Amino acid sequence: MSAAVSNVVSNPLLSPTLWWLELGRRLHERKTKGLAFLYLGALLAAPTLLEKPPPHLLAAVQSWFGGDDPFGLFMYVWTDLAMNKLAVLTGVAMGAGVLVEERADRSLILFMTKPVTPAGLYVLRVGSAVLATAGLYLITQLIGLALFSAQIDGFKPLAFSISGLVHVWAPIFATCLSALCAVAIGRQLGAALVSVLVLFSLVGGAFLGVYNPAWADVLAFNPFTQSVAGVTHLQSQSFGTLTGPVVGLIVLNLTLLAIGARLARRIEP
Amino acid sequence: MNPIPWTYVRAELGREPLAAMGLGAGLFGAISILGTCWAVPRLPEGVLTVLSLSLAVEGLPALVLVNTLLAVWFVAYFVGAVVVLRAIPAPRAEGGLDILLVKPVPPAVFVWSRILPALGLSAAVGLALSVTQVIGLWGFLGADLSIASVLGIGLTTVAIAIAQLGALTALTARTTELAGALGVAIAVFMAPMTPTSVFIYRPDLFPAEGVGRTLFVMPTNLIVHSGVITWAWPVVMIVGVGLAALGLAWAARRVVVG
Repeated sequence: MSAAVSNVVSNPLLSPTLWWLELGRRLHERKTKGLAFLYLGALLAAPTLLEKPPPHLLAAVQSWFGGDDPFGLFMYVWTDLAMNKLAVLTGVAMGAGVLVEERADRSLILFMTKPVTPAGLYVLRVGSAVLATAGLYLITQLIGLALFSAQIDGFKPLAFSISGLVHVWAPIFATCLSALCAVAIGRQLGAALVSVLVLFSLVGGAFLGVYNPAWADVLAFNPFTQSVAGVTHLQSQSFGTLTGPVVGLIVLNLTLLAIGARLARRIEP
Repeated sequence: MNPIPWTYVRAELGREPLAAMGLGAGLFGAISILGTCWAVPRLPEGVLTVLSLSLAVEGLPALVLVNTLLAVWFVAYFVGAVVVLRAIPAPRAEGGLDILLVKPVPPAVFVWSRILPALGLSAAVGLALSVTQVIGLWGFLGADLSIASVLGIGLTTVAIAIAQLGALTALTARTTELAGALGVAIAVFMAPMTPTSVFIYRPDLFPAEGVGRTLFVMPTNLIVHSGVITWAWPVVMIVGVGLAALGLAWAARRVVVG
């Protein structure tokens, strides 16, 4: 018993220093900087894009999400055109290289001589990717909150913030799925291709149930559909309508993480 | 000028499992296309009207075609992009490219024999998916939309994908990180699509109807010119392959560092 306890306590994954160093490495990677640049671009482009919306689009969005102000259109464009596409990019960039990248640059063999299992290393790498992803997303939302409050007429800070807290699980899902593909397929490019195909297909259908309510129940399995609940329930954002999707997405991501950690041992250094 | 080392070229052309990749990607694309052909006509009237006004195309056949084009483009590009990334950036990231480049093979031959399979695969998958479009759209074919114009629009899209692959080869010829090369691949794919996204929300920024607008909102707007594209697609294909050749020539100059 005491051996088991000491095993858990001496597990390097419980060391805050390790996580701190790992996250630091993540943030210094060139792809993280590139992604930050893209998020900044979305912040700057969104107000210009919505300066003069065509009337037919405004009317359609109001009929889908209710309300008679242009804020629904803003939320739709921000979430679907900007953040959904960035979620896919972030996921593939952050997740598709987990362990297979380390194998390619021959650092995996070095890690495997340290007191950490392949599953542990997987959790560490995906964990830091998820933290960096969430960080990028939430910082963007915070800047957006300040920027859009000043720039967008009729901007609703609370609805925007709540929707972001639900939708942040979309890029996290994309990251967990891409990482799972990496260890399941074992090759970075094959994994990236499969992730890109699957994620773009899912993202394309995020609002399909809104366009045709008859399909909504069948399409509810789509994690991206769940993640945009803050927009589809814009008029009735309530604890009830938003907790379900968030809990579902957290469970899904933990499941993907667990399966990936299990498959991680198949990656031969 | 040294003679071309054909044995080497043949070995390079056969190094990727092209048939398996083409079959997998083609199957995925075909399912997406046929699914789209099934789903789009079943959308509510109001949604179709918005789609029609947003993309500036008229009629259900045109709307279905526009939506399936995205699948043709996406699959034709990415299946080729994987081969491109595995040809130069991947061995460079793994530190094996130097050994390849010290062989007595001119850089141009190296680049061409590694990238030609990518372009060929993209063209073959694109052609198969253009034919799938004809099958999926069979019920809509008529005076407004002929088999020749569906094929012509599909192959014009494939020509764009091939030109993009040439650009990708040049832009990633010196990339040392595979993840970076992947980011470039996605950016190259999305770049020509950005004007279309802007067009949906800010049509006032674009020229009124005509070739000027089509050049920005390709391939979505090609349907507007279906009469021209039916016979003009081979010209577009030649231009696309020509642009890809320029990209490859540039890549050959960049691939040997130092």
